[in-house]
Amino acid sequence: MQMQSDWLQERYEFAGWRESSGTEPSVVGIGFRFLGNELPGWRLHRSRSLQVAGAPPAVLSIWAPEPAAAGLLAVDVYEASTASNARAQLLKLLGEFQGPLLERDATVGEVGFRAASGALLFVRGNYAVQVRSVEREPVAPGGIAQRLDRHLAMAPDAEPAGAGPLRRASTVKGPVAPGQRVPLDLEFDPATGPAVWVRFFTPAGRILVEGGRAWYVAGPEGPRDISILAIGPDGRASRVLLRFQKESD
Amino acid sequence: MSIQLLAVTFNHDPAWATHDALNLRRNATEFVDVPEWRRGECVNPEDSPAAYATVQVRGHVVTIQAKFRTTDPGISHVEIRALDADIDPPSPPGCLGPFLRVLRSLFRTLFGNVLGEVAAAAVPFAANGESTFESFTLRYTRLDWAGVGAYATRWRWQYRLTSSHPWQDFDLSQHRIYVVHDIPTAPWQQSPYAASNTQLPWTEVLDRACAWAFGAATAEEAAKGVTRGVYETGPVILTYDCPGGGSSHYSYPSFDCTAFLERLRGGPGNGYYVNCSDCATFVATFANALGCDLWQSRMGWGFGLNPLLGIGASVWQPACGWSGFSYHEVAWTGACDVNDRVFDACLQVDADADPTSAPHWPELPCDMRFGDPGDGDYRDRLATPAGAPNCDPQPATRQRRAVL
Repeated sequence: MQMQSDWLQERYEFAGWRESSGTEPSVVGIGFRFLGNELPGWRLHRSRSLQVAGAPPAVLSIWAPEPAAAGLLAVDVYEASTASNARAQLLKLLGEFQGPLLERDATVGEVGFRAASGALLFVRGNYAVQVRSVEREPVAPGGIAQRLDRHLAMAPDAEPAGAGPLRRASTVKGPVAPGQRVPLDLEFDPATGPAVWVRFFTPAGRILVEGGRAWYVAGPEGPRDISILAIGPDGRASRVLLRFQKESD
Repeated sequence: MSIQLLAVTFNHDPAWATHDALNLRRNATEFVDVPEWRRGECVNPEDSPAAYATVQVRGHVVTIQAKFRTTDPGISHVEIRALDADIDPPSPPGCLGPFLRVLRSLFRTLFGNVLGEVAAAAVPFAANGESTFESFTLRYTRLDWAGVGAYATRWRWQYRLTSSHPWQDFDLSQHRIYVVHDIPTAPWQQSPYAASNTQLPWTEVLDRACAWAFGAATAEEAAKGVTRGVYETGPVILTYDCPGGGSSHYSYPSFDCTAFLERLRGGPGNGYYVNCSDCATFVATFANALGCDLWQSRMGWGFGLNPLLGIGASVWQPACGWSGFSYHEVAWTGACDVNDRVFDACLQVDADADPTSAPHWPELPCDMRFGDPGDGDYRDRLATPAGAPNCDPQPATRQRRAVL
């Protein structure tokens, strides 16, 4: 008997988008949350963080138009441990659609899909995102999804380390070989604690998140830099740049 | 009044449901504290909820516990009882009394509250004027045959100093009593009995489930009632998600029961749209709160559809005019396989001899065998003859989503 996951992999040609192409800079985040100011023209009605067995940590939210009007948006953000797992989560989300095959949508994310006029799903880094119009009055989800995609991928203006929630970042000393996995240790302002959204931007290599801790796996070539951006509950951001030595350096 | 009722406990033994009430909470965040009725805090019936499982209490004596206070230092003990306040209001004087007593006996049998009366028991008071929690036996209960429902119980509490004294009214208490068929099944739990356990049955779920399945005397009747109740939320409260491709709005990654209840109360919830997984989850979860034993399970993958009436729809067509479903999910009994029964609140099928074309005879699948292709059961009514072979039961997907 065929499993639904196998059927879905064939249906959506998952082999073609299972892994990142590697041509785009990697973005991985920990602790995503909505502050309520991410979607201009929309008010955050409800946001809930969930950790359910069999799915990555999720933030499920409902947004209402501001000023008040008809229409309602559901925006769900799943934070996987790796970019690959985010793509697997996107496939699971596609498996929750009873209707016809969802079409690919190239306007959003690294991989995107569109369901009729009411839903848009995409992956950015380790995030799988679903934006849906959920009330009688339809809302086109495309613009909202693009805005959220930029929010995940773009780094806002940040203050140097020490001025914002992130005080310091450190890792192992010495050169890092291709494929080597090294921990990334972060030190936060005790006033904000670790409950901030942290993103790691790297032009080469991969970032993994395990047990709430970030790891860097060096790529075979390219600069081994990681830009770490932390955003506090008040929206203030601070950035730290970690530069690794190559073995040949 | 020299005697006061301080508290009433219905769930005085969390490990059992044969002689007392079930373990409950109100919703995801609020626990039902015990004692359920507390002086000064509880006014309306819903302030003091308790639930009983018919199958469990049948043949057993049901007891409650209650605590009292006397303001008269001269009273060391009294006899206390409680009458059904609706059947036994204070008696008028004169010759009508005996006639009314006969009438009340008849009314009690027919219309009395489900918990009947609190039989008299002796209550001693300590030096501080308070009693301990004293056990009382309930008599004339109708838990055996009232059927599923949420009932109000109003008790007139009375005391007398000795058997030669007349009974004196001293307090009135009101309670909301849920009668369910049996102990709620998963995702609902009875243990651990702790405020942190969000899977204890929710009274806000019982309010809906008992209304939908009112009067049900069996698990099948209860499940049918819930299935009809969910389907009838369309098109005013919910409708099938045609604009969004039929995705899950309430049931992934778990059952957002809080949002569903908000939607039922007229709030936004998670929106207007649902799919089959949502409906299967609503039915199984709410029916299981009444002691049914349903699962949420899928069939598939990728099959053509006969004309049907989706939840909230008024036009017979394959769902949303699509050619088929990638999968379908229903509330299902047993192993969720060919010979098991389905309860589908997401759609009505054509129950006539030819479900592939007009005319259509609508039937909500309730307790319908799933069947093999050609059997004329649920599978043949849902899927086209060409699609039925792909509409296989997928018992590996059987689950009961936790409630949030």
